[in-house]
Amino acid sequence: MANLTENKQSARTPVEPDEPDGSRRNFLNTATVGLAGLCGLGLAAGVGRAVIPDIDDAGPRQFVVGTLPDFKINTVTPLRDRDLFLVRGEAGIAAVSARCTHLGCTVRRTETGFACPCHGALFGHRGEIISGPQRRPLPWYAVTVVEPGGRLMVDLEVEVEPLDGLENTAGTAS
Amino acid sequence: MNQPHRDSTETLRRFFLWHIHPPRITTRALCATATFGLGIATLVLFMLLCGTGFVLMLYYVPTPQQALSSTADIEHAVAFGGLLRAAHRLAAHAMVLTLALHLLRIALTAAYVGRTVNWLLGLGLLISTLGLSFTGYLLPWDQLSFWAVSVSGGLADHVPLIGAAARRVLLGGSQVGGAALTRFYALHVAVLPAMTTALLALHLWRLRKDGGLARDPMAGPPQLIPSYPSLLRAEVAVACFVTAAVLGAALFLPAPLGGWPDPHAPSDPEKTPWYFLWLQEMVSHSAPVGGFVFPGLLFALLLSLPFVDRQVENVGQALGGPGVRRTALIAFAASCLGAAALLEALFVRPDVATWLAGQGPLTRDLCSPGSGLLALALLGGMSFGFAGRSRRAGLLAALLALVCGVLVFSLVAYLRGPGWVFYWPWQKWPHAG
Repeated sequence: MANLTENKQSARTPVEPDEPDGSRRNFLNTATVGLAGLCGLGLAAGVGRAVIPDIDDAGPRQFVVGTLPDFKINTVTPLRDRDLFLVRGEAGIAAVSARCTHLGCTVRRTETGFACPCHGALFGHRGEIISGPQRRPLPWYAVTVVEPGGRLMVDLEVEVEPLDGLENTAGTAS
Repeated sequence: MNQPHRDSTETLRRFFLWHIHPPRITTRALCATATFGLGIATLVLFMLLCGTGFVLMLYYVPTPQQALSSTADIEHAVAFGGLLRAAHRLAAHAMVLTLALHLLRIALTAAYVGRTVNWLLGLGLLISTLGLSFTGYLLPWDQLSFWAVSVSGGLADHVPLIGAAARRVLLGGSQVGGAALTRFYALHVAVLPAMTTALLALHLWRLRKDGGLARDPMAGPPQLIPSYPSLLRAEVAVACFVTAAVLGAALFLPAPLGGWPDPHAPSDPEKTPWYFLWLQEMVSHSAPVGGFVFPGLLFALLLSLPFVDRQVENVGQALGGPGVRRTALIAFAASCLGAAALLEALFVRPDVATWLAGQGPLTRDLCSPGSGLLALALLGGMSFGFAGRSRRAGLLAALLALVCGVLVFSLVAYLRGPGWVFYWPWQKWPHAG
């Protein structure tokens, strides 16, 4: 079979008279295809790399959100630009993520906790799962008071235990 | 035919139409119920989209600051602008629909047999058309389009290995923003139209090479007639009908345009474009099943059709031929519709949802309507395949089951209201808080 194909091939490409085995032609053919292929691969790799964005648009992991007097005791305040709720309870202060752990929609504060409008995920006041497709509870992040001035620093690197007693704050913020 | 009249259309006929049309066609190819004109309708819609899209491109500015206002300009300040935008939107919706129906017609008549290349090209056109619709959806940059794309983007995270990377490349960052708008615009006006045009050209070329409308080779010699002018007339008739339908509908159904998008507050409920609603519904039960397993297996089933079913008998016959098999498959499809509806009804119940929330991830993935329907499709496909000793019957049974599920899931997601709660059409939605 291999022989047959070979014969067919040589019958198609006329062999130059001064070169009975056609090795020069074969070499040039292979070299052309190989070189063009390499160039194509290089270009594709370069273009492919350029398409992947290097810009980090995730924002800082630690940031100041205001001062302690800005947030009254027993309130849940949405920090819209950060996709967080700042919670000040009687036990302390912390931030709970407003980003649904299912597909990342922004959750709303409801009378039973938090609800996501995209796929119906329901979370309790502590961010725990009530029902829906989500697999993880809403994470809570540490908020520390930085002196002087009592500035509140949210640290997304430090997860903390949920604050209790949010039932009393229902309805204080949307 | 041999002595064409010398008239103004001769050049067009000789150099273009005679190349894309065969000299003779079967009488059945002209029969409206053989093809429903779906392929031509899809082609005409694509041409309409290119025409209307070109004008929209002249006025539209793809930046987050100006996208919405330039779209509003098209709507109110450009002559026939509102009509053009409405026609563009409706033609895009119609193209997804005619393409899906065209694909189903080919699949259910087993017209893919011996035409593997064209079937694969057709699936490529399905992907590029969905891509065009999806990228176009973001461009008005209002609340609706912003969140529809955000929600759909979240699906990509559940595709193993490449999902998160693909999402980042598509959006140009981690969230839908200015970079995403630029990328979607580039895809929408350059990459995807070029890809679609190339695939269409190959698709039409293969159709001509494969001999036009698929037919059973055992059925005896077909009745042939010259394709000029009958075929051309039929095509022009479909083109006129489609154009009139789109423009007529555009007069009464203006394209919606909402307010500025709020990247931190989705509306309630927040829904994907209608052709992705079935995915959103399945994702609302289980993200891996709805976002990856179910669509992946559906596409794999479509891909496998011409490779698994190579039987040439009864090609071109609805559901693989007359008689028992057709009746059985229709009955099976009906029962799948019912089963999918039952599954949905079961998992929509709040007490079931609460019970499921306490279970482990695997249980929750397995106990979802999508998984249930996949099991049903597998069971139906196997039993039809073995009972009828026909791979085609098995494949078509599985496909029918999945398609019925897609219809039910889409309908349920369409009816869902605030809080992703199911409401019947006659029940009023409570005002979103």
